[in-house]
Amino acid sequence: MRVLVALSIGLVLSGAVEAEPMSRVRQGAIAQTERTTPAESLEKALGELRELAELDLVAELIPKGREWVGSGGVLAGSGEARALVAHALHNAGEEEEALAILMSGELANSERAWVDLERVRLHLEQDQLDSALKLLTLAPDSPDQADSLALRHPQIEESWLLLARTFARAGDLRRSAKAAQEFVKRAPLHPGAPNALHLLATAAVEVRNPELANSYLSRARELERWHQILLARRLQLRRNPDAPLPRLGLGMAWMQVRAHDRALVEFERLVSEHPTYSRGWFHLGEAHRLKGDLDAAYLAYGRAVETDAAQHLARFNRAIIDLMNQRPAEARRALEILVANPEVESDPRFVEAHMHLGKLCEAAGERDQARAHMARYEELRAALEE
Amino acid sequence: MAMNNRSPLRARTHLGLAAALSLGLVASCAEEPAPSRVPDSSKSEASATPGAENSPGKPVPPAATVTLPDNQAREVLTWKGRFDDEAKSRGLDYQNRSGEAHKPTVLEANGAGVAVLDLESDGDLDLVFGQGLESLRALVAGPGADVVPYLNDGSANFAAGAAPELSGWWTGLAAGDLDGDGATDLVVAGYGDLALLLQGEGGTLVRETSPVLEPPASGRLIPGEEREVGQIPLWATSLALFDADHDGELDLYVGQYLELDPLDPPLGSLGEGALEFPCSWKGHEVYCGPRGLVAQPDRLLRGLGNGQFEDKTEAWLPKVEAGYTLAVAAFDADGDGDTDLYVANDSVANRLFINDGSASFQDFATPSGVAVNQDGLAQAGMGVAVGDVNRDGRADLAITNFSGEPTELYFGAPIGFRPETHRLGLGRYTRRLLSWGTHLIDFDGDSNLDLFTANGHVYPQADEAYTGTEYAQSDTIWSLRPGLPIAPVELASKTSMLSIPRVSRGSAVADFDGNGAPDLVVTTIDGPVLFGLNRTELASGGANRLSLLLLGADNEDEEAGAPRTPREAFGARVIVTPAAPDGVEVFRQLAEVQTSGSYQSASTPWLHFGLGTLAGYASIEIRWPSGRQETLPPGEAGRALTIREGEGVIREESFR
Repeated sequence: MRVLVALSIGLVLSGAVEAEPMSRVRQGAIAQTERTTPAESLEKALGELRELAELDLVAELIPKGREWVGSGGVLAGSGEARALVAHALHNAGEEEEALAILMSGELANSERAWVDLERVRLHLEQDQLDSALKLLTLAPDSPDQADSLALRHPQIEESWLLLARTFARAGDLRRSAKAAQEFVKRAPLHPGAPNALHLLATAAVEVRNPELANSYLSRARELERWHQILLARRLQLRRNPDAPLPRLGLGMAWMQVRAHDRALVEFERLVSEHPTYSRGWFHLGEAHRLKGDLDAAYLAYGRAVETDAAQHLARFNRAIIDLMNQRPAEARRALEILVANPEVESDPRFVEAHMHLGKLCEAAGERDQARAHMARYEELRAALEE
Repeated sequence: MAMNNRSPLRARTHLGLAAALSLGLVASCAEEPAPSRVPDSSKSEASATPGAENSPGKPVPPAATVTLPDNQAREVLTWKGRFDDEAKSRGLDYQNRSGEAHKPTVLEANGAGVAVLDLESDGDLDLVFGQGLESLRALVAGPGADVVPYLNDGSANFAAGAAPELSGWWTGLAAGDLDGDGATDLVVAGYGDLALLLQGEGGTLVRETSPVLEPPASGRLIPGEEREVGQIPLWATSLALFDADHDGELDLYVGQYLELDPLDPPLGSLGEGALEFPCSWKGHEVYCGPRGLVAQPDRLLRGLGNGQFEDKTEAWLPKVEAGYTLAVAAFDADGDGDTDLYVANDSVANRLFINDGSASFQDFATPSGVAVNQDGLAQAGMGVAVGDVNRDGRADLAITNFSGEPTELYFGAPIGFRPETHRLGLGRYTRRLLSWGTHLIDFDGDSNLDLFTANGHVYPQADEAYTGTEYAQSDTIWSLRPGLPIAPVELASKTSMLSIPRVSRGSAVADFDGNGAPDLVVTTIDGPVLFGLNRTELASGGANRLSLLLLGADNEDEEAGAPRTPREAFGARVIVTPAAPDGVEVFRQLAEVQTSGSYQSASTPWLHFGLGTLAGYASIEIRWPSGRQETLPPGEAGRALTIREGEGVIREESFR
């Protein structure tokens, strides 16, 4: 139990990394391919447009976007790309061109949804609430179904948010809240989620439930702050693509919201680009650990220690995994290294090192040593409590 | 709500307010007048919207059920008459200085305000402008700038007045009688300083030491004096003089902005090394802030009646996070007879400080729906205007914002406020503007309030490609007719002050030429002042108007501790009921005596009412801050009335 508790509060491990696992980790971290398929090129171009839009880098987005969604362009058939470019053009005051991009040319039905939703956004900017609603929803089959509006494109999560905003602007907070609730359920980390939470809070105020309102507002504020951090990291990364710190910060931002998969992507890329960056390895280990992959965590922690012997947290966590996997000798070696360093020994994060050593010594029949370790553990613990 | 004369305001109860407060909500206990339209034959010419809404006598549907028809063409109202910029020809040669042209710091982008006040106590309204310098370096090196007064000869011709010899970088202003001598004084906010100027002989403004008002040494910036990196000046922006505690003396809310080290300002980026964060907007490098810089908390000072203050921030204001304050308006938000405060913050939530009657304030912005916009986003919050737009007897709010954000319009509701921006179509008109000074006032005299905004971007980079906006923008007026969509106003004259794209900032309204029509004065960044004399007319000819100046009673005989009306009657609420033929219901027009609001500026204490084609008023009801209520009998329009509490009309003049 103590070991599990220790892990759950982010302990540090250490240990040697075996050559084979190390290379396995390395391979996983390298996200490069020799050749890109047309589909991958498309996805890459769309990803670039999305990034430029999210970072509001319109001066780059518009020229690229015009070329890519224009006739014969690589993204001419992408509704999402057209929507992104049209949005940027509209905000830049090029309203006619924006509309032309949305309305011209053939688009597969599956791509039309993006165009429809962008048109909804433009209607909202023009305070055309009726038109926005008509484009968002399907007409009810009968008058008595008027209350249950069906979304035209429910598969795209932004539909729900746009519906919520439209209803809110029209003063219908009840229906706004229903749509907002659905959006938050589908996309809890979406940049629009604070908006949806705010609409839920407004509806809660309307029905005189201030506790619920405050709870939504608190979540909204937290999420908004997180998005600001994420945006800052992305801008920093764009400005300094070769520096490890911004990508480390980006990964840690994802960890903050328990999006470990996203965090792993960043940390793996980080260590592939900076293989001697010990902090990157440590956080990669953390992400693996929190995802439940202790083997991968073990390897990453090991790399952290290998690149920097002062990665005490990595060494400690690795020792705990050794204990869990019945490798007492490895664990003992790591823990003894830690307690031999006076600064580490007195660090509250490692106070249990002596406790684990005491148990290991006891198991090995070294009673005197076991007693010494347990006594030291009690001493350090008492000092902490003071 | 029936009230006895002079009943203590705090003894009054209102179930709605008590219940709402128990849920953390705000209620309004204003009366519900029967809404109806003043019959005005000019309406059919002015409005392009046919239909029942304009028929005389037909009740106007409540705003909540009105939604802008999507297929309605954008209606533009063309006003007859003139509203030209006459600054130069009338002697207003003020030229603003606000730092370097490329605006490397946020201080240099924010500009100065203007105050309207009667210097010389001759009944004419004069002007004092804030002022900056050519750069932040120049401020540190000294000498600093002075504020710039102009004296009105009564016909809106101005001459430079005696300057008070200040030295600093001056931002916001507030005017009111602070020492009880009957002459209007001035408080001037600045970057690194706050100055109390008492009006003396001949209208001169003399600086009086005010230890509580002025920043402590650590927050003071004295131009020319040596300083070190890390010494951060206090930066005051907008001010509001109002009576918080009903003692008849004016108290002061000091809005404060952010920490900016004049010796080491952030330039182009925040942070260092790999974690350097570019200060950018739409991909262009711009000045840093406010986000990323430390906000400074506001202050609330109690006036002692002798020109001095007592700091009551801790006792009267709740502990809220400091919020980059740019604008503040004092007004009775919940109609309970005391003065509340709306504080507009830049990039973070706005505040609605509700006064419990004993000068203890609590922030109810969130439950009242006026903290952030409908999408839950905090906006730039540059300026605030207060007025009863839909004539329901409750104060409404207009808040100006950044480009990409609409000017927000909120109507007072039985509880809190109701957002009307998008329902009435203001969003689409304002989303490309960056707006500052703002007023809700009846410019054309048709009995409906109009909305004015002073516009201009913060970033010169706004003129780059793909920003969707511009640095210089024309100021704008919209007509707000109850029950109808908002309509932008054009003046027939090609030289109107609305046709000049400028980089505007602060603004104030007042009737400078005595014709009853509110005029406009607007400051610009690095440019001349705009001064518009309002000579607009209704389609049928000149509108009938009424102007009121309220004065509090002489309080010498009052029992100690009893609520008092300030000398200049700040906080007095007036309802003018136009006189209409039998059977025709009219809109009762509510206004409150306050001079704060807009952006870093102070407007006239006069109240201006438009009566359209109606020749007079049926009554003037006044609720004085002391608790006294009075009703004046019917009278004719076309006059400026001075009314003293308890004495009725003590002076009247016909409009020129």
